[in-house]
Amino acid sequence: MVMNHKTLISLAGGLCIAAASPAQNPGDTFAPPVRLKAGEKFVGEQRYFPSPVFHDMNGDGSLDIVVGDLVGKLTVALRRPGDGPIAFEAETTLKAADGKDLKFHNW
Amino acid sequence: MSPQFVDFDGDKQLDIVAGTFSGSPFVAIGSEKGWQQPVEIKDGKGDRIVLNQFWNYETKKWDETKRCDPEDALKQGHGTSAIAWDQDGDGDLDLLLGDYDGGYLYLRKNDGKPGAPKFVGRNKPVMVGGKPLNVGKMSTPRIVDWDRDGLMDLVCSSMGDAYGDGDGGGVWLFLNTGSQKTPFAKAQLLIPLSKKESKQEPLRPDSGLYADVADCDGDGDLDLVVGGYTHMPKKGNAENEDTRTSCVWLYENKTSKKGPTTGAAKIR
Repeated sequence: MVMNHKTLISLAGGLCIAAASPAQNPGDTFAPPVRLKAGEKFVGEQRYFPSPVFHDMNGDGSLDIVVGDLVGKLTVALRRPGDGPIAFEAETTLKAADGKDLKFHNW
Repeated sequence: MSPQFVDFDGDKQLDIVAGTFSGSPFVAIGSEKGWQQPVEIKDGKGDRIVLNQFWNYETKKWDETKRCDPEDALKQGHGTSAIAWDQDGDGDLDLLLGDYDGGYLYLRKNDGKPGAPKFVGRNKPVMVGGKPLNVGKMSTPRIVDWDRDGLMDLVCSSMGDAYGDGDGGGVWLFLNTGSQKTPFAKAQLLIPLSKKESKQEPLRPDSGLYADVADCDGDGDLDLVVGGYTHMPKKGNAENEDTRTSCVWLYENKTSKKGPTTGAAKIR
């Protein structure tokens, strides 16, 4: 049998079935997590339940980070160009076409 | 909330879909001039799309309904996350609704056409291995071709215990089997449940994990960006001291993989 990434994932799925609880995915390993910075602050700092999504907001080919939160606000942290460590410009509030802050409803 | 950039109305402009704590999904329609203020996504009859619990804007109180329950109703649910994607492959965007309360994931099928959605009136639980998918207090689902087999897989993250001493949240991967009947394989843990072990410095997001997936460093594998709270030790004796600190974390994938992974494969 030819072993490739797909095969390994498939075998991993078989192992998962035998386990009482989900196993750590053996197909992917991650470095210890690091806090992302936007300007001088951490991305999502002092936000209620920050919920990030990658998106190229300015069309420069790099993925920026858009962060939502519990109260329905969205901020944008643009990716800084360069080959160094991943860094972002300071977060700014995402505006709607009417010029006001884009605000998702809540309660 | 769980923002998703997606062409919801089929006009080639990206819109923003998000579930909210009100219990209903919203969409901010995009145009060349920018995004409109978000509006609620309604079903084909013009009714609110909810699980069970929702904020009643008329009475200004929390409310509940069984109007949208599946035939085999599960535990009471609170839909606080939503993504749009074509789960049944019929060419239009369905909704996946994440359940903050019961931890399940529901499909709200679209019986309309691309750009003219007509969502059905009831939710249907997404199944894994013959049982409803459940990660416990779901934060958000994401759709991504994780293993690059041309099928969109499911990544779900969970809240964990955001207010007490219980275990924190994690991130799960459900690979797409290609079967309409059982579309997702059994869970694999990408990020294990947190034991809340930070001491001097935050070590990881412990609770309220909101994950997204992309190759952000361009090395050909998929990384995770995860928002959430880190629970730090108490500094004083106050019972109500909030020791949580929020931010967004990068989990860089160190797996060596070949082949392209592009933003286009990220979300439909």
